[in-house]
Amino acid sequence: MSDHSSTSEMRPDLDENINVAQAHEALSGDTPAASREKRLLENGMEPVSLWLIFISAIVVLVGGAVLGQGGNLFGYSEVVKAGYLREDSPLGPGEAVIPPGPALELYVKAGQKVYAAAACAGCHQPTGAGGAAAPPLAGSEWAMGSTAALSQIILHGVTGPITVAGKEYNFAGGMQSMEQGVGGAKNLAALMTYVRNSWGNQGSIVSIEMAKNALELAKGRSGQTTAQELKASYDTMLEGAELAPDTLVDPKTLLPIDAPAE
Amino acid sequence: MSETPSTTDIHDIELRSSIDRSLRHPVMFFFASGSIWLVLGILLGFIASAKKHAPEFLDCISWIDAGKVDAAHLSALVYGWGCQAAFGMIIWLMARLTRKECTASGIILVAGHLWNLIIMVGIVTILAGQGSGVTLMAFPSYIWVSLLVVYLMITLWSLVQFQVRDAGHVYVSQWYLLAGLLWFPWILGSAIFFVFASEGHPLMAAAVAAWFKSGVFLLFLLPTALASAYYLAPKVTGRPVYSYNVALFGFWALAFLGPWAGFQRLMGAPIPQFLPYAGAAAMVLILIPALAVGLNILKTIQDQKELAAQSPSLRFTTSGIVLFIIFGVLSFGLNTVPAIKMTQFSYTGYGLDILAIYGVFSLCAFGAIYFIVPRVTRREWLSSRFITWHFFLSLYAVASIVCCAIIGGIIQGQGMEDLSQPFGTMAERSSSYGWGITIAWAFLLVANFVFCLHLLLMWARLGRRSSHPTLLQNHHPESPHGPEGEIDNIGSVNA
Amino acid sequence: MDHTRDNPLKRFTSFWLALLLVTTFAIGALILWPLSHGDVETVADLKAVDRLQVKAEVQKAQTENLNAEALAEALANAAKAPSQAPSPGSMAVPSLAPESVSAEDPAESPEPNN
Repeated sequence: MSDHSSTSEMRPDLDENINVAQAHEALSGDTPAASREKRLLENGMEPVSLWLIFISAIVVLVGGAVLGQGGNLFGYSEVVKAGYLREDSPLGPGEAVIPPGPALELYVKAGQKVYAAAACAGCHQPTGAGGAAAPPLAGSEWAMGSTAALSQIILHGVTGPITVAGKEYNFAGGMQSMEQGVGGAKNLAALMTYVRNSWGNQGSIVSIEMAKNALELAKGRSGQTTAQELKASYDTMLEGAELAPDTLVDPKTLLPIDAPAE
Repeated sequence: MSETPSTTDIHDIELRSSIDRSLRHPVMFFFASGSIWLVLGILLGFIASAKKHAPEFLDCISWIDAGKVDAAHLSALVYGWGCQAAFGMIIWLMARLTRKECTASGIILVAGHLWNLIIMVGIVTILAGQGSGVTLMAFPSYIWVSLLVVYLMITLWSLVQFQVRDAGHVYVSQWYLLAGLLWFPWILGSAIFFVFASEGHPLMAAAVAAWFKSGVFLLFLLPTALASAYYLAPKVTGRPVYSYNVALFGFWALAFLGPWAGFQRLMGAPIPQFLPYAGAAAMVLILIPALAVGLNILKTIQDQKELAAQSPSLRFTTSGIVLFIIFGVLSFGLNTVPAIKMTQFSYTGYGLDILAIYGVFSLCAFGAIYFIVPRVTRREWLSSRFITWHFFLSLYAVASIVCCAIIGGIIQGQGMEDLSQPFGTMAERSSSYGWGITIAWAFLLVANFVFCLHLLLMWARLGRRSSHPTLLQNHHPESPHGPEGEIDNIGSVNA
Repeated sequence: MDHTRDNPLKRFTSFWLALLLVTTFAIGALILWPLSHGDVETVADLKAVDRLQVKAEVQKAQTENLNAEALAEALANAAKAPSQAPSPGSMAVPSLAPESVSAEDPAESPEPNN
């Protein structure tokens, strides 16, 4: 029931010429909308219609068919292509390392990258065939022969006449030093191995130790070498332990996987 | 169980009016600012839709480039209009149903201003090019947590009101309100966490974003719309809800299916296989709660066709519910695997989204607004003609958008699947549907401009001061409520 | 204190319980997330280290070498420089390769595959 003392709180926002008390008297007039509202009643208790259940059953069937078209919903091997992910490493499951591989393969692969990066392919061609700017590497005795000579050719360059595979070549300016381009013992070892084992060449692997020795050797002199000097002073194999072609090495460091970490 | 309705005693009227009075500022603010965002969102939608088939439209203005304006459009529509209309509806409905006045109106009003500020900052950043790029979460990442906090500032009070309600009946609307109130922070919090805050796999972020996009509609906007429908249908007609059991069935069906939906957008993506299929199945099954709710509401108002036609709130609500059934049927048909294959990257998904946000939620929200605003401002709507225009333009426009989008999408899909034709053929064939959508957006813009104008006039207290409501189709010069009169002339009116 | 359901204590507790309920999932996620992420370092992560290092180096070098003023100047001047495109008819059309299909009669050459 209405409380007349609350008139002041009931200030309606009406026009000035409305008598507030009068308006308050007709309480329901203050809120015509609220007064004409009907009350909410308790809900009806009709049962769930059978048609609704029947249609729902059909819909559930269709939904189930959609779900079924997913096949083996949790079958990883069905959905993912074979070989999409690498297998576990031979060191054991959970040891996520790049799997090691045979030394020859990995050295040659790394060396191929160095061959391209150091721009050897520009003159010697990616096929090692050489051309107007460089003698061929394929079938070259300099590539397959003494590793010391090969290393000095790379590290210092060559100038003057040089015989390769029976032909004589003499390029103006000769070959420049590629030491900067090769960049490091690992890359040198990989490059030399690549050159010695590609395009039909059959040579041995040049290990990182040997490459380090080569770098030491190169410190002893400066300037381009000549063919005579190479034959005279550098016709040896670089010192270092031999690396068998099928030793497992780590692809990044090119070291045998059971070698102690350096 | 049905007694004779409309036995209102003074205490009820007092309570209702005091509740309305306590809530008038927040509710009117939400509705008014929401309607302004609606107009903005539709304008942006018009531009976005035009850019899809006529990219050179307004291309001199760089801040409405296609990607940005599309993201801004959806954000304005959902967060600017959808969420604010929902807030207004939620706080009013919960207060009315628990019969408790709102004691935190000031906080809610402040929070509403904050929400608007944040949304404005967000949309400006999107148009400036700094959006996050995630569908429907395009605001930059630092904004989201503040949105969640503001949401809590607005809606925690409704939860408290529910707890302190007088013992007694829990209405169906309250189930939906409670559910929506609790679902939204869950999906928003999860989405913020998994998309922006954590360093998870980006594919998971994409999946969670797709889930959130579906969840905003199915688990927040839709329950609010259904709560309003379950309130208005019995309220305006004076009859009880048709069946408690069907209501229970519909509610739990939605609760079970809603959280699974959403991933079907990513069918074929490298996310776990079961997610898109579960999402597709859930969307197929959405027809079940749609049918249940539709049955219930339409049965509640059966034999009352004239009332449904005359009362603007009931007319809009009924249309919203019918469109919900249509949404269920379309969802059922378009989420089977061959249909998804055809329509995945086409207009169709957009059409369904607009049907959901505008057709279902917005029409029910308009129904609620046309009911709530007179009670809260104590004025009646100015012009039934405005309401009629709003209604018919909205209905035709949303029907056009949905038809053009779905058919256009199927044609696009066919064109894309036909590998012997170049992409341009498909684009050409479906561009006319794009035009149809754009023109429909223009009509929608007119409709909602009218609505916004009408609502702002009501907010400015310029409504009709009268004792009886603004009804559509007023064929009788004599209203059933008695002679027309001013508000101080009430003595002659019986309730 | 009023012992109806609506009393300040109930309101207070409801508020905090509601807040707790709403934040439960967030709290749960925050607790469980670090536990579930695991310490797996995938091959992709290992390979990414090198790649990202190279990328950082390249980007650093490029930013250092970028001469912004010269670039802006060149762009501004490019608009003023006369167009380098030849005017129609000013250049001789290179002769067609002898013995090619189109050399005999251009009209008989096969349709281009557009």
